[in-house]
Amino acid sequence: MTAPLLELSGLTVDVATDDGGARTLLEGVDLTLAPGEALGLVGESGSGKSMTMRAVTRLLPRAASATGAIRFEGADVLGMNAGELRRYRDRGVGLVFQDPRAHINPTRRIGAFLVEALVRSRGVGRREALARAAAVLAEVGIDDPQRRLGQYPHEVSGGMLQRVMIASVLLAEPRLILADEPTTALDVTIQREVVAILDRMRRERGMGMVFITHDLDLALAVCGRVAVMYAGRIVELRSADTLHERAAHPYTLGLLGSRPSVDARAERLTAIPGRPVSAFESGPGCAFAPRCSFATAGCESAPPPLADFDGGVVRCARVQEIHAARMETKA
Amino acid sequence: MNAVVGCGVLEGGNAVEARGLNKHFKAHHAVVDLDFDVPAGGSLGIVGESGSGKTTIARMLVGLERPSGGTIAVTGRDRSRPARGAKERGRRARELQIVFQDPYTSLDPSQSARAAVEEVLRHHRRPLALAQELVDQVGLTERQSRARPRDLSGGQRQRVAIARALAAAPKVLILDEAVSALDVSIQAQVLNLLADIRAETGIAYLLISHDLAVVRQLCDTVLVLRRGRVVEQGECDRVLDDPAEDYTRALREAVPVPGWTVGG
Repeated sequence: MTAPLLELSGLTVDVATDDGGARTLLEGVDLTLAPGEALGLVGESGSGKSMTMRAVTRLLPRAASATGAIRFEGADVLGMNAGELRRYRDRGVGLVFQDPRAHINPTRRIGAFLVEALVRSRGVGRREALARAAAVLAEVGIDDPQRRLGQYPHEVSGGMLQRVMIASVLLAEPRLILADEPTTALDVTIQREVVAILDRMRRERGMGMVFITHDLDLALAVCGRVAVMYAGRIVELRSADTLHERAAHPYTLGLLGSRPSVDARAERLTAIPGRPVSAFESGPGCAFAPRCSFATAGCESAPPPLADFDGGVVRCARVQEIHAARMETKA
Repeated sequence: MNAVVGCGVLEGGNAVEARGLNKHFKAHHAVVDLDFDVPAGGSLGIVGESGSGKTTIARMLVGLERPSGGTIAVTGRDRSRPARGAKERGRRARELQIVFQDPYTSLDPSQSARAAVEEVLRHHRRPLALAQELVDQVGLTERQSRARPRDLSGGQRQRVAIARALAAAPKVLILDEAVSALDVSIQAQVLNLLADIRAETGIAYLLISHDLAVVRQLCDTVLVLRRGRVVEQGECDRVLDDPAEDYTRALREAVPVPGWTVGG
């Protein structure tokens, strides 16, 4: 097996509260990503999916601290000094956010935004940088790139600005793309084009990608493996092509049942009762137990381990019994 | 429940009727020659992407925009012109209510759920005792009904917005992307709740959404809108399973489903 591109082990993030206490947002996350692999992180509010990405880039809120280990190509990210961190953010990872308008300076032309990093930190000449920017804009499917370079962000649509964002990431030629809900604000037809661009760029350039989304089916389409997160922990991880048939964690099953289908109307959606919680709101046992129809008294007392099950990993103490019972009803 | 909440079934006819509806903003044609009906107790989904004009339709229905041409009637009464006087505004409010996407910005931050519902009941001279039943109907607990919006989750706030809209006992409820911002597990709860309320009260829905799956779950009929014009309209099953137009097919195929792959 090749050495991992990114490796998280026991990653935990705590945020200090005003009263001197600490709240846990992320607890014991273990993940590995091979070079060129696409991994999905799926979850609802408070699941820790975005916090994982912020920890990986060391862009945590001031009051938060990360423990455990983050290794990028073997280097210890949490131990990097300022220079190493700059190089890592500049050439190692690229970020694509949900709302490009919030991350692109509205007062500067798209061309100026795209060439800034090349000119300032790579020493590329301005003319050469603009030529590269135009070439990359064409690659992400933007017509008439020369004209776009001279436009301001407010002059283009959200879908086009997200392509500009992706182009800016590609110009830096990172080994890893972190995409946090990159298509959530876009129309569905544009969403399809944007994920197709991300997918093609990743394959052509052999980049790794962590794709963060609330949409399980979208993650399954874009990624090879998908991790489902709940209350700051991974609760299930398996390959995308088997998740629909083999999902075993009651939360994953609940997510699959909650989503209405475009193909047929359900008599009633199998909604999960209650609301999603954050890690610090959960008790000593399984964080999902209060919403789980399979939970027993034991589930609330001890945290279940993440264990191999049916080709994936699942964090549920009763997974064997639940699986057996489901197979019986199916048969 | 029907009698309590008072969303009486309309005697035949349409809950909403739009004919030749137009809206221009200067040279921009936001809505062009639109005809649609929401039958009494029915549920129509208006689907479109950004710029399709779907929100402009909602705004004309509630009276936030005035149509440039054509007519809108709700429960048979024309509302193409602004309401004249408080009495007519009150009557229109009892015909049609709206729930927006973001309940946080549409609720008064200093008002509890119960107070918000009671305010509407008082305004429409309905018994304040109904507040409890409305709060129960949308599934808020006693403690939640006394909390301020900031202490509630997104799903709970949306329940408050729904209870407040129902307090006026409208015949029609407009749901403008009302479940779009909710977490998947909460969205399912609210969709089930909305289906129950329609079954119990015979209220009609006009659901504005970009999400075809949500429309299919909640609506009988659908209207596909693009750049202010109707692309296609009809029964949900027919339009979504056997679209007549390429645009509808493209929308349908862009929805990630099991087996969906990027590119395509």
